[in-house]
Amino acid sequence: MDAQAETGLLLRARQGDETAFDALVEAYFDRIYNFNLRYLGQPDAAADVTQETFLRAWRSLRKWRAESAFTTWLYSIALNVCKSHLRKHSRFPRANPSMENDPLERLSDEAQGPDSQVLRQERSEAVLQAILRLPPDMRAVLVLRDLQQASYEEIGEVLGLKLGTVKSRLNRARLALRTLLEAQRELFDSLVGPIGEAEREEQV
Amino acid sequence: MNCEQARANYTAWRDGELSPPERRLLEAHLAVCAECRRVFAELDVLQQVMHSIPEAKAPDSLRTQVKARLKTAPTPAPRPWQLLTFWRLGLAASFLLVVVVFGWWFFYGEDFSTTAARTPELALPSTHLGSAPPAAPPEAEQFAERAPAQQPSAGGAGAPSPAPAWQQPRVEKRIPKGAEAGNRLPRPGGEGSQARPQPAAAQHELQKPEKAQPVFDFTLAKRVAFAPAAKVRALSAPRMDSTAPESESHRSGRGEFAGAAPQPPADKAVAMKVQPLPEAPGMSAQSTAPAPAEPAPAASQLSQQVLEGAFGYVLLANTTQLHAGASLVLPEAPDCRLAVQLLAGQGMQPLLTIPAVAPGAPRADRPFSAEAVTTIPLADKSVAYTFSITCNYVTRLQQLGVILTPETPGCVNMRAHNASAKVLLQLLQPLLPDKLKSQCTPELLDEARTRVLNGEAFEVAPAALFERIKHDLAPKQ
Repeated sequence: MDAQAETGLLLRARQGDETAFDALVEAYFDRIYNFNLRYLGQPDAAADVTQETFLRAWRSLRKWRAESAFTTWLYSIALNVCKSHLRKHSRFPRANPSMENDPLERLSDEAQGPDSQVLRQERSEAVLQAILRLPPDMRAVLVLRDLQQASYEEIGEVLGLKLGTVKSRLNRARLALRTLLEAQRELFDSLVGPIGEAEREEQV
Repeated sequence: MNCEQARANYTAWRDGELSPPERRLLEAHLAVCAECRRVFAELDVLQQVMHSIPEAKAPDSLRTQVKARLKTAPTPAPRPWQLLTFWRLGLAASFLLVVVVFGWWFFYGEDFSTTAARTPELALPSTHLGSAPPAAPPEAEQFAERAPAQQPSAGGAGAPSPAPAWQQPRVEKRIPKGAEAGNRLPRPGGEGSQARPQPAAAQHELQKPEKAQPVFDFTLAKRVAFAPAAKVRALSAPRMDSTAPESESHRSGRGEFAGAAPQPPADKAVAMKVQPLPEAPGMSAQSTAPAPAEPAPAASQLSQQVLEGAFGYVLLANTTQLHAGASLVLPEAPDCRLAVQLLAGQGMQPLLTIPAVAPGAPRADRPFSAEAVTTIPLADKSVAYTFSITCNYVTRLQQLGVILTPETPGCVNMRAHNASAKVLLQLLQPLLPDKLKSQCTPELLDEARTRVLNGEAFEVAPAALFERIKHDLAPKQ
C-alpha cells in the first residue's frame, strides 16, 4: 500500500469510516500477528493480542500523528499490548511446542530433502525458542529487525530509542541469542561450514 | 582491539557502518582471533536462519473475528475541538482569550470550580471534581464531597466545626437554581437535603456578580501577566507570608472578589487577594485567637509547584504537536484520591480524565501518584492551541492535614513543554464576561502574541488561588 493511499484510508478511518479501517487491518494484519507471535511465542496469546492491538488502534485512531508511520504506531500499540499481556499472564513467554498455523509445520510439506526439512525445522524452532528467552527489550529489537525486517529508524520510533541505542541493543541481542543456542550448536554446524569447523579444530 | 570490542562491532561491520580505520582494526583482529572468526560465522548463520523463517499467516478466523469486533467498537469520532479550525479563529482570538482570562482570574481570583458553579450559565462543561456529575465513580464522589461534608449543616445540632468562609458560600453557590437534584452529589448523613434550601441572602448573592463586577483594569493585568514568573512570585510572596490579623475588609471575605462588595481599585484588589484568607463569619469568635503558628510557616513555603499541581496550564503552541502531561506524586497521602483532567480546545472538551486515582496507582512504587500524559496533534504549525490541566487534591489533603512543601520529595511534578511558550492560566472561556473581552486592546494582544511565538515562557501565580491552597493545606485543628 503506498503512502498516499494509506493516508487517505487513515483520514477516512479517523472520521469513523469502518471500511477504510478494515482495509488497513487487512494490510497489516499478518505483520502485526507475526510480531505478536514471535514476541509471545504462543498462537493463542498472539491472536488475543492482535485483536486487542487493532481494537486499541481503532479506539485511539485520533491520537495517531501524521509524522509517524501508521505501521510504527501499530507496532508500538502491539508491543504495549504484548507487554501488558506478559505482565498479566506470565513473566516469561513460552513457545507452544505445536504451533498451530505456524509456518514451521508447513515446512515438512515442502519438497526438500528429508534431512534438510527436519534440520531446517529444528533450527528454526531452536532459534524461535531462544528468542523467547531473550530479555524483552532485546527480544523486541531482534524480532523487529531480524524477523520483521524493520528499519532501524522504525525500531527506534517504536521503542522510543535513539538510532545508536537500537543498533547496539540489536548487536547485544544477536550475541545473546548465539550464546543461548550454544548447547544446540550441532544444528548449525553444517551452515557454519568450513570456517567454523576449521576454527573449532584449531581450538581443539 | 580485543574480542569484546570486536564482537560489539559485529552489526556495524555487517551494515558497513564502520569507518575505514575501525574496519581495518576489526578485520585485523579477526585475522588473528579464531574464536571471534567462529563467533562471527555463527552470527552470520543465525541471521541466515532468522531470515529464512517464513511469516506466519494469521488464521482467517481471527481476521474475521477482529473485523467483527471492530464493527461493534465505538467509532473514533474526532472530538469537537479537533474539528475547530483555530486558523480561522486566528491567533488574536486565542490570545485575547488567554489575556482576558488571566485578567479575570487574577482580579476576581477564585478557584474556578467555585466560580463556575456560581451561576448555571457559567458552569464548566467539564467533569471537574468540584462539580462532578452524578455518574462520577464512587471514589470521585467521595473525594469531591468530603470536605463540604465537614461543614456544619444548617439544621445540625450545633456541631462546632465550622468551615472556612470560602467553603460556605461555595456549597450554596454550587446549587444551580432549578437544577439541584440533577447536579448535587449525595452527602453522607443526608446533609445534602439540608443544604438545598438556600437562604435568601445566598440566592441574592448568586445573582450579584454579573451586576457588581469591578471595572477591569488592564494596565495592571498587563504588568503582572507578562512579568517573569520570579517577579510575580516576588510580588506576592511577602504577602503570602503575612500572618497579619484579619481586618474588616478581610472578614467580608471572598464576597469582595466575587463582586458582592463595592468595587475596589485594581491595586487594592490585588493587595487584598494576597492577605490571609478570611475566616467564616461564624468562626469569628474562635478566630480572635492568633493564627496557629504551625501552619503558617509551613504553608508559606508552598511553592509555585503546588499551584501548578492544583490548577493548570494554558499552552499556546506553534508546533505541529504538543506534548502535555501532568503528574502528581504525594508521598504522604496514603489514602488520597487524585483526579487529573486535561481539557483541550476552545470549548474545553475533556481530552483525558483520570477521575480518581487510588493510592499507588498507576505507579506501584510510590504511595500515591497519578499521571496524565498525552500528545495532541495540531493541524497546522501556526495554530494557536489551548488546553488546561486540572488536578484537585486539595480537599482531601486538607482532611489529612498534609502539608506540601517544595522540599517534599516528588511532591508535585507537573510538566508541559513544547517549542513555544507556556502560560500558567486557567482557560475559562465560558466564564468570560463580554465586558472584559471588550477591554482587551490590540496592543496587548500583539505583545502576548510576540512573547508566545518567541518562545518566552511566562507564568503567573494568582495570589488568591495561592492563598486558597495555603488555607486548604493547613492542618485541621
